[in-house]
Amino acid sequence: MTEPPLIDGADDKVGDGDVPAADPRDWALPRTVSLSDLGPLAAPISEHNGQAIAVTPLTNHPGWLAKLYRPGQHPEDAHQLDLLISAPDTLSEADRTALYAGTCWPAARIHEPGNPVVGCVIPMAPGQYRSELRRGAFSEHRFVEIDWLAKSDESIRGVGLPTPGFAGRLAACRRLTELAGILESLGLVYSDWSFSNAFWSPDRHSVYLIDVDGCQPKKMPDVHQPNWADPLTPPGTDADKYTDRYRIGLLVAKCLTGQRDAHAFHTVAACRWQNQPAVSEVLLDMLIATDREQRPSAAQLSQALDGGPYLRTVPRPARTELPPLPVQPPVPQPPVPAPEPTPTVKTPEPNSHAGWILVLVLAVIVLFVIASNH
Amino acid sequence: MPLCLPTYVVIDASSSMKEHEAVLNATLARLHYNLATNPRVSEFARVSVVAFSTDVHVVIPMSDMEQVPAMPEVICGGRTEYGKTFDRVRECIEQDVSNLKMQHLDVLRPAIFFLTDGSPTDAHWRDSFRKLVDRNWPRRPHVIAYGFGAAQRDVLRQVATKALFIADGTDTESALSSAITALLNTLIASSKTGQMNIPTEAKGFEYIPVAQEFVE
Repeated sequence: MTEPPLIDGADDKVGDGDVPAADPRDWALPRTVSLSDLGPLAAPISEHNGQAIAVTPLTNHPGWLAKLYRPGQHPEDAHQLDLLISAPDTLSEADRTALYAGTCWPAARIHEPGNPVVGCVIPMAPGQYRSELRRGAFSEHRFVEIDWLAKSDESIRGVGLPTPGFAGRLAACRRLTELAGILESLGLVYSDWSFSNAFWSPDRHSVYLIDVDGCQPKKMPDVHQPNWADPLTPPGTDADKYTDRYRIGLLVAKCLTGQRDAHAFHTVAACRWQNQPAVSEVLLDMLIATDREQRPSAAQLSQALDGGPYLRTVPRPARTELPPLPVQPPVPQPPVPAPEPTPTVKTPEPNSHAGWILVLVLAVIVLFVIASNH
Repeated sequence: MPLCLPTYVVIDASSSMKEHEAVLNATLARLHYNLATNPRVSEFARVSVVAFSTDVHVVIPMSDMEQVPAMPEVICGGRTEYGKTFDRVRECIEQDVSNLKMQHLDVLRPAIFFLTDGSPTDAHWRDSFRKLVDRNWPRRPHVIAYGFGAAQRDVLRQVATKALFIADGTDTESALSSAITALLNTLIASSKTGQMNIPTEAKGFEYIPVAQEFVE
């Protein structure tokens, strides 16, 4: 992938006056719209989350949302957002299609008098990313965060989702890495790679990246999330493409192995996936290279996940030690039925139907005996 | 190292809660569902559930709730003994924090969510509480208290070290449900930032900021 420069698309034109590339998502209005152009807003589906004060469906534009930012945006933020909206125009058709299908890429900047950046218009995540999650007597139809892919197949089965197996994990990781590669090719930093910012479709093994409107060229404030800190990006410094490389490596390592802690590192180091022989080496360089600037790119990881070789133009980086494995925690003891006085706790019976089944079987036997005696 | 917040859900299961027992158990089951189906929250907030009345019972020992198959049922009855509860939770914290550290986790200051609908029936509970939040004990927890029903604001003001929520006249069952929702929101918000982050809006509750870190 090449690195085309970002171009200004605020007036629905690419830099040299060409018509912008077709947006297959059917956004009906221009790339800059006033709040009043959008028509009525439905009740918010999310409030006070990150940089947004509300995310609300557009009643007159089914499938689209208005993401309304906190007050205090600067005029230059408007320019930045316009660049982001038009950035896919520079991509190949295949990459543009992948980006639009796999992210909630903003379609328009929303403004109003005195405020050039009220927010942006983004597409709703497709329905394929919602599933029924069941546990015990409860179930809920909701978006499945990629968090789940970083769990074992057994855990995934435990909430009633189809298990991915290695093939499903690999397919989802390919999509993730493809998107990361496209962002890197655009010179954009995402910084926010984590479990909460991507949805996963267990049926289609696809992924969908959210909050991409926060992407910035070259560098941006490091978005801190616990357990995603890049050890080589000091606190207080900006995130850049090397930070992104660490985080996408970490996300892929966890999703590919279904392990979340240091076990993911050790499993990657131990695995030599037969059809993806270079993946282990690429991931280890992304995760534990001592020189952050020698971390391989998302495109290199993508190539490795596709079964290709690990091609480098510079020597292999030195690596740090793998992180220590956690000690196995003590197995929690089952709750002890309480002596009187109360409170007591009553553990659910593992199979409350078993007694009834036994009674039913006995009844059938008795019926047979009675029938045979007549 | 991964971050971890040891979380204690300490629930009043005394006789005054008897008539709300079904709601209490349904609410706990919902808490279990929500934690067990949010891996990053259950990974960050290791949870222990403690029910107290005349005696104290660790209903769920410190666990990743995804690993807990189902929430045991709590049967209410008895007095409202705060002192024994604080003693027992202190013992649990001592043991649990050591276990979590053994797992190479960065352990944050524990958080106790204390839910009660009544006043303490034991006279000397304050001694136990002082030991629990003693500033010389490095593992002293934060206490976030939710009071409803006949809970006394003045008493809970002494117990809460981080935040206090007092039901604004809402019935006990709604308050119980709201308190668990608020607790869950706190864990979700905290898991995003890696530190205690208490949303101050809890439906049916008045939020009372707690200025002091410890009760003297």
